[in-house]
Amino acid sequence: MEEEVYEPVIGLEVHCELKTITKLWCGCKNEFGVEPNTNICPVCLGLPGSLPVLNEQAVKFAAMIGLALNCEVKPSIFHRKNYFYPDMPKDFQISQYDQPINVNGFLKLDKNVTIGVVRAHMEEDTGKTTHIGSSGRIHESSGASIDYNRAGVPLVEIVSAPEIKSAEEAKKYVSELRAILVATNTTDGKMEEGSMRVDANVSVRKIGSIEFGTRTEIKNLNSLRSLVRAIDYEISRQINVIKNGEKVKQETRHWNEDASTTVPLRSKEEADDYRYFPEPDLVEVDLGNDIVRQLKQSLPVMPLERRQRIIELLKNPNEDSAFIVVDLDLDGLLLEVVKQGADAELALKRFSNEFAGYVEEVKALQPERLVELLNLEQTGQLSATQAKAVFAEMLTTKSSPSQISTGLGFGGLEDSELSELLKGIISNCPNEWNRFKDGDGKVQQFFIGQVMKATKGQANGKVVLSLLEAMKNS
Amino acid sequence: MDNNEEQIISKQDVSYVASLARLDLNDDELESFTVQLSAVLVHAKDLSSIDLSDLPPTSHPLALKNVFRLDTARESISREEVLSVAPQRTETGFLVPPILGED
Repeated sequence: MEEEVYEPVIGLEVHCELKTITKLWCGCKNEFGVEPNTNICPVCLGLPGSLPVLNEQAVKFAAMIGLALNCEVKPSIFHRKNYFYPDMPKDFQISQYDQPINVNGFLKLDKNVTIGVVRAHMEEDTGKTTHIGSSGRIHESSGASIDYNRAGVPLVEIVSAPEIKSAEEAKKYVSELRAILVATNTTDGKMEEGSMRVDANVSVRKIGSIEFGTRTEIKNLNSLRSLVRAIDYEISRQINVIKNGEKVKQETRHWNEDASTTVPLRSKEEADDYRYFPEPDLVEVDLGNDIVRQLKQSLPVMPLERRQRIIELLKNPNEDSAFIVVDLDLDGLLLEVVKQGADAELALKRFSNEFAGYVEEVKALQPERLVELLNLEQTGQLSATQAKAVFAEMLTTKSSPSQISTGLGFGGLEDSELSELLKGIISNCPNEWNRFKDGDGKVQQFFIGQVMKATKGQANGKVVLSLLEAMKNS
Repeated sequence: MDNNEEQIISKQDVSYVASLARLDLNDDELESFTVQLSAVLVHAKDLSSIDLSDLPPTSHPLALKNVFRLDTARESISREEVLSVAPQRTETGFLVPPILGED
């Protein structure tokens, strides 16, 4: 029998917390990591008689996210999503249902791949639940402690079209989305702090089939690594279920990082029946064309374009390094040093590696000094290791790279001194020299090592190697 | 009670909605609410007899839009004051029974 081949269909729901000063409906502070239940009031505790009033900045941030994702910004309304859960003190969550603020957008992963964004709507975050074991200091039986600081924090939920084709592509989508959100300065995109959270809808179908298979929703994806592992696990689990002649059940599953499996969650409700109805305490939101246009104009250049500006300078495009440099917001400085004469390839390499650990310090340096450093390395006056040492000094002194270099004793060795040194080493190690002459490439490291030892690391390895080659051929 | 009233929802519908709302209704109550809710729905159904295709749906009775608040922080209320009236508490939070469906 012919082996059936399956393909995954993945859609992602990404929740991001907005960087407003206050919550969505009240003037309590929107802060992460403060003492539990200190940013609370009758509104976010859902006390009777309290009324929500919409935060204008949150609406503008939501529209900016929509615009950055090429959405249409529409007049919108809020609905109540009804369910009983202690992290939602009102017993409903205010969200947007059939008239969300942003619809019909897309996100470009690269030149060839575009993923649709169905909608990006506003809603409020829930409180934070901490489970208490029976062995804890609370004498009552085990339960959960709720912190309502997060209740009512503004969220935007971004729903992709089911167009993602692999776990790796899902990772790329989330990375790109995160980069865009951070660039718009509407959210900080910290997955580890939960300010950006991802749920994945996964199904599989036979290749060539047009209909979707039954999907499961995976929750608790707290990092890009969990995202990839959970989706890959779920794809093979579903394929096995089908191959065993069974049917995939539509359900919510929880990713267990330690066990590396997804497990079904017992459902909160009998069914996903949230009885949405229009929130009577809030009125329609319609920013109008003028404000939407202003918000669009206020958007910064998007990361894909910023990476493109770097890549255009390179002979050998390196997307990953460009991603890092843009992610660290060092691309402006990189472009400047290249404009001032530094080699683009070398600059990208150093910016994405050595410089990446010192973002703030590097931003404070004068571009001219970085250009000088990069040029010293490019022309071979400094080895990579030496350049790194000079760079470290540059962060703490005002001296020029060449002054630092001299101070460290780099570049003080003339070729003739090195030649003399090498001759001495060669006469002491005739066996290694013969092997080198016979073309044994491994011995070259031995000679470089000997020179480094003798010069206390002040020689340039590249120069030593070229001297060795010259001696071999003479 | 008018037994000739058209019943457009079933007892099962009412029982389901009641369970979603965590209402524990006995059989008599289910019976009674089925009739009452049906009557409400029949009344609302009158609207279907009018052609409303030119009218946009009404989401709110007030003709208002864009009621906003500035993003300015104000003092929150005292945690102690709130927790002191909570049915059960921990040192810093609201204590609730263990939650099913979570690990």
